[in-house]
Amino acid sequence: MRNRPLTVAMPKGRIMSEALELWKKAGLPLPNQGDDGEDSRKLIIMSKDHRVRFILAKPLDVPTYVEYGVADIGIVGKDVLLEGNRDVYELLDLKISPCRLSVAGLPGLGINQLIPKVATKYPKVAERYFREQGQQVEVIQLHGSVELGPIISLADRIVDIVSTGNTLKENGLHELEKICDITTRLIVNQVSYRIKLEEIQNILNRLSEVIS
Amino acid sequence: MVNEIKVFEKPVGFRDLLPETVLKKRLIEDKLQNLFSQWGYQEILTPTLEYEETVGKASRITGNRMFKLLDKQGQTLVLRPDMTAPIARVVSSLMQNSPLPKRISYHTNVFRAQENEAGRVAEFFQSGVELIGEGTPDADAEILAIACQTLKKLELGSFKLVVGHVGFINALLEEWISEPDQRDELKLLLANKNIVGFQEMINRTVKSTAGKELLLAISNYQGDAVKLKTLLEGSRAVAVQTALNNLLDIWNLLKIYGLTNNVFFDLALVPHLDYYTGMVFEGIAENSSFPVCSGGRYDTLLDSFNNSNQAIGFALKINRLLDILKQSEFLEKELRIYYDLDHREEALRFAYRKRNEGFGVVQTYRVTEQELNQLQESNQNVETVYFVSGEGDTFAK
Repeated sequence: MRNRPLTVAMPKGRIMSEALELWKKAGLPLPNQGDDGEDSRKLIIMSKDHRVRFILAKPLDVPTYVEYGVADIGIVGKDVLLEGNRDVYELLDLKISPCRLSVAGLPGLGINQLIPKVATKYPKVAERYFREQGQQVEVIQLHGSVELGPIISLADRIVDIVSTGNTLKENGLHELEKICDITTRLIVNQVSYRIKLEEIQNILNRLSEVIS
Repeated sequence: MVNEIKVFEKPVGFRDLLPETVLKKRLIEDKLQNLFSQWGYQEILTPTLEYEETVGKASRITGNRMFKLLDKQGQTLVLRPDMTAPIARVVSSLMQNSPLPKRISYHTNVFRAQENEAGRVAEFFQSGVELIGEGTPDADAEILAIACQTLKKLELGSFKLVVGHVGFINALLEEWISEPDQRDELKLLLANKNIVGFQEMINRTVKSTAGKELLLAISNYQGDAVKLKTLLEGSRAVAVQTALNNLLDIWNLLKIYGLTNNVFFDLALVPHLDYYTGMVFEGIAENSSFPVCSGGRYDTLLDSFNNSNQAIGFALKINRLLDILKQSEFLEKELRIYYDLDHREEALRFAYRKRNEGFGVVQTYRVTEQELNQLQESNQNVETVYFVSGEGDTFAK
């Protein structure tokens, strides 16, 4: 870890562009995207001053990189943290990409009492939520288009991220219960938090000032 | 579908250690025990299996993280999940009458069932010490000093001890939060390193501005003892003062040891194990992405064994050390000799003499020249000597 620039794992996509917006406002070094532009396929990008290295990762992998210390800092949605349960410090709520984890289903369709089925990308969150409600459900893990579940009678309910609710509406689903609110968090490796304290504290302070 | 076990499979989480690693492990443990001995700590061994009812419960490791089996009487046994609880049992029984304070060390494997992904170890090695029957800050500082010395001796690069004290969080939460359930939840948030969650809940549940400020301030403070004092001015709790005085005493002792540069305080350091009652700490080395050691004071754990002695200890995570310490630091020079029938006696006498001189010597009987030509030695730490009839270079020595 010694001779390596401070490394930040970012999830590719919307969270990253919003996070970089915040990063810019805070006056922190930005990834030097160079001539490749936005569509760069590079997975590692340095900042112009070469003091910060950005790893572009799948959102689900960000906490893993941080736990194992290949990245000092990670930017990731709370939904991913809830599902992954990684041993990392969660230090700052960036309050970007707000949304919620909710239970949704077709209107008027009760839950199957014998074998209630729930389709989701978040099996652990879903299982825990229903267990805490005193309900045991069969959790069916899907990797995308979870809204399909109730429509094609694969599941009675879905547990998924809802931001505007448009996707649900377009598929004729109703949001039934909110499990929790989700925003993007800044996480830090437990050793980096100690050894690179000054650098990390500086980033935290600057970001705190610009978080709305 | 029957899940057939393939012939080379092992139970998930268990590993074979090959010669290079075992050599490394042994040398690390030797280094550590030498150091522990210099402070008067004597090594003990305890059984791999213990009763769930006694050591299992005392260890406070949650039930689903222990490997369990039944003995012939139907009693539940556990593979020891840590070494602190077995030592508590021994010092309260067989060593009951040996004089206090007792200084015990160990180098052993412990077992934890893992629920995370496959491949995480379920059996790992710990080396550590326990100091029993001393409640003084001197004992606290002794343990911190030993921890510092071990990390220095292992040449882990720059390292730090992060020191906390569970007295603060217990007293502060009691002072500002009336609901015991909420206090537990807040402590769990800190144990899970969820500072965002902790701060959010403090903002939501603590009405008093002073209390809010104080609890928020300790949630991300890392620094020396001097600023701690100012930080805690807002609290009137006696227990906070007691804990603070304890940490300041420890700090002054660390000054004598010359270790204040390696130690800093973080009052939000709350271990998952809930038997700790006082100072707690973990050791961080820049070459490892995970803490390499941890420990603290556990003054009431021995109560489970009808023993009122106070105690403190710490353990090193040997698996982490095996991961980060380089192989080359542990290799020793080795002599390898090959001989044929005509030179057997000569070769074996040579090997005998060299061993007496302190060399490691590996001797192998090889008859034909063809066999000899097949030998390939890539290891630079190995010197080869031939005792064979043949062309020019028959004898190296």
